[in-house]
Amino acid sequence: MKTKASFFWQRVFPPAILFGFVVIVWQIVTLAYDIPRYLLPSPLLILQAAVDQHEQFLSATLLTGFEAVCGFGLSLLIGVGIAFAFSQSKIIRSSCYPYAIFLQTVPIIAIAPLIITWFGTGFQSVLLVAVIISLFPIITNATTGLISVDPELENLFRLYNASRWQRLWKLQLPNSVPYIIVGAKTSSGLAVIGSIVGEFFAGYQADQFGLGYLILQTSNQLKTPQLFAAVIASTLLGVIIFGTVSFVGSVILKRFYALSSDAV
Amino acid sequence: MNCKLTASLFACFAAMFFVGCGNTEPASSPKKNFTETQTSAELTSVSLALNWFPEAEHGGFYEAVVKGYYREAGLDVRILSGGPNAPVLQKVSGGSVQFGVSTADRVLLGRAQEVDVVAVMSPFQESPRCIIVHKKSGITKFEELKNLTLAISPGGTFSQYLQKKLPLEGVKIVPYPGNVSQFLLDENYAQQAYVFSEPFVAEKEGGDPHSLMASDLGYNPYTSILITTSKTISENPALVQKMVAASIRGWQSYLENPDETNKHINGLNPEMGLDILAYGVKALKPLCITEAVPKEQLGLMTAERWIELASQLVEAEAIDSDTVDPATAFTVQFLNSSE
Amino acid sequence: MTAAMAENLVQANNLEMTFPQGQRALAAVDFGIQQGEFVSIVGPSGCGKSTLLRLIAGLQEATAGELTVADLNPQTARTQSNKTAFVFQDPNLLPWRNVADNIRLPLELAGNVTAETAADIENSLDLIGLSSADALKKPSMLSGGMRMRVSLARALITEPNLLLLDEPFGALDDILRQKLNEDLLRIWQEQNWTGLFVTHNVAEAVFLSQRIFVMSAAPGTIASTIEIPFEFPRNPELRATAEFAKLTGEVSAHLRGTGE
Repeated sequence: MKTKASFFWQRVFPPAILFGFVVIVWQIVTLAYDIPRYLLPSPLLILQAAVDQHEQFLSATLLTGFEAVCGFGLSLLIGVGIAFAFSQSKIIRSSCYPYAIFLQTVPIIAIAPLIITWFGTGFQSVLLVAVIISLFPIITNATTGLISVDPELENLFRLYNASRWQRLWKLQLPNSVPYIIVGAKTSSGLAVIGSIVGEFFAGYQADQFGLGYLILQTSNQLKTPQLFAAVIASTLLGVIIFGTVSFVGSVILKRFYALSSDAV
Repeated sequence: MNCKLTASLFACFAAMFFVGCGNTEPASSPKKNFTETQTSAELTSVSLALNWFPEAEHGGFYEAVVKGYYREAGLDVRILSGGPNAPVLQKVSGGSVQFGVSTADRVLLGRAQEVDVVAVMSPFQESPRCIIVHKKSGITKFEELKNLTLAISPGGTFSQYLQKKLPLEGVKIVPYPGNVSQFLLDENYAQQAYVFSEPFVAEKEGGDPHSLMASDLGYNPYTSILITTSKTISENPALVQKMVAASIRGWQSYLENPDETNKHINGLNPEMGLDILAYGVKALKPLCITEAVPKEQLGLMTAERWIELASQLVEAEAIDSDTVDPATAFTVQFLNSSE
Repeated sequence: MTAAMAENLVQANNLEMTFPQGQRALAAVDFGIQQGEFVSIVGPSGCGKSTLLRLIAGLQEATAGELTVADLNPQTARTQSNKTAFVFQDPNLLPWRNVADNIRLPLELAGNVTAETAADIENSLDLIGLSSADALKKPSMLSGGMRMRVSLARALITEPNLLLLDEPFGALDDILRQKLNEDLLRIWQEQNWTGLFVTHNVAEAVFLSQRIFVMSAAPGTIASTIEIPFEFPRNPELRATAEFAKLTGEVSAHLRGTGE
């Protein structure tokens, strides 16, 4: 049984120590070798850059975060819907699944400009890019979850003359939830990436921009401390969203499936 | 979750560290050249990195290669084509190339970030930077830019300067796409351009471009300037001298008789048709040779222009004040020698 | 245990089952089971006893011969009256539902959930020896024996006519198995359904049933039928008697004789 204290010493303390160690070594190295700031800024410089423009970073992070959350949510809805269709018909599954794989492999950097041309710059295109990039894990995990039902449970339902709808709602769907949660975790991180990539090409209003735009801008201007700060902000955003989805997932698993959080 | 952050930071740090190590080649190990003959023993190999694909704005440098001016000066110059986001400043500062082509605003930006680059010569006196709008829109002044889409390089200093100086009501800023296709499709579209390039192409395709010159707004950075490091200047001034002199010769010659070099450029960059190049040269000649700076003084730079640009960049919040001393960003020591 | 003139609930004539890949699981199976009987089927591994049970449940269709349940085709009998229940080898509980919801599942699927259902579920928990506190637990929190009890309760909630059990207690230890056997018999006596119990444990078959079908190895057929004349209710002490041992021996002998 994990106590709060043991949780701290085992899970929080070691990574924190490693983090501190890396930061200190980094600071020393940049000072000792006099590395110019446009090449590798020191942690202090990055912190300073973030603090100096914290409003800008905050609003950019919120904007990108909003796009990512919307993209992820949409992915979840669309992905589970497509998985439903796949689970109900072998014909649909075998004819359409290869195109779902296309979502996984298409180089988004090549597609994003096209999307911008077709749908214009702005929120809808960024959303679309985020959805495209994060859709596949949902489709594939949800489909697997819906069709990989224990055959004896299928027999049980057949025994009681369950209708197709009852099978879907009372058997396949609950069975698929642990799988969907796994897919959702992957998908949430991808949605953040998708939002940022979308912003690279879509731009925004003159006074409202996200982390992707910030990354491009600071990179163009050789403002490497700010670039690092923007990249770190993006990473943190991804971690927060991933962590939230993970947490919600383990709560669901614990409450409804009585699986301990170590199981997933 | 903490582990993920740490791991990605560590990876970032490791990657940058190796990149940083890789970039500090000493300037005295020039790139091996492939194209020369037995006389290579007498020529010094040099690389010149361009900031875009080969265009008329690089004409003078190519002329010096084509007409042999560099060779006459004892230099075997290899010109490296650039493109979007070409890392010219990093390459020059890091030492992998000896010379580069850039613009004055980027030099100041770089120096603010401890990039070691110095401008040694500027073929342009007036900046060709402009914004093209549709003639239909009736816009003739920058202040009238409203309610449209403006395509401009993210982080471009001109973009930031515009946003600081103008209200830009209802203007949606999008990344500069590198061509005029979107301009031709959308009536409510404006984009950054160089006056000798995009307007001609747009007109050729049936568009109705009207150029608003950045210099009219007072924003006038030296363009297509030759840059190198302060290290090269102090350790090998003779090399820089030869490079500057031959480049000036090239530019003077190109502005008079561009045809042979234009063919060469067209061969390197087929998208630049001969007609575009010819138009380009005509358009940029008055930007390079002006009343104040006649042909003999091509390449000149003044301290006032650099100081003014620096304060404009501070105003645009592209650099912090007191991070750059404009005087250190350029030198005229290699100009005015008779050549 | 009424007059012998009662129509057979389950009747098989010359039943045959051949799988698509060609294996013959059952051949020339004949038997009749009367309403209210408790019959066990014993046989060596692979003799087709599980297959036979699934045919009677209508989960699979025989390739030849006749099989009727209440004079109907087994599938029809199941879909029309919903009075056939099955207890699988594995408890087969839905892991995301608690005990009470698992028991309620057949009623939900039939659309028969009423105001009395909650009380019915309470009663069934009582019947199988679980407490109200257990009702809210998820299957992963229960022991193997408790899960099997829940599976049984689920099977009984629709008040079936015919209860088919496929080696339900095979995974449990002897003490627990004997206790569950006694509980099963008690419930059978209370509720009067017809029971068909597949097992490879001879003592279990002898304790529970009125008749034992001994099956031969694949392709399975009913090699012999043995009457178990003990009176009901049957007490645990019965297992210690000489009579019991004798019958067990007899059945085992038949079983050995029919094994490959």
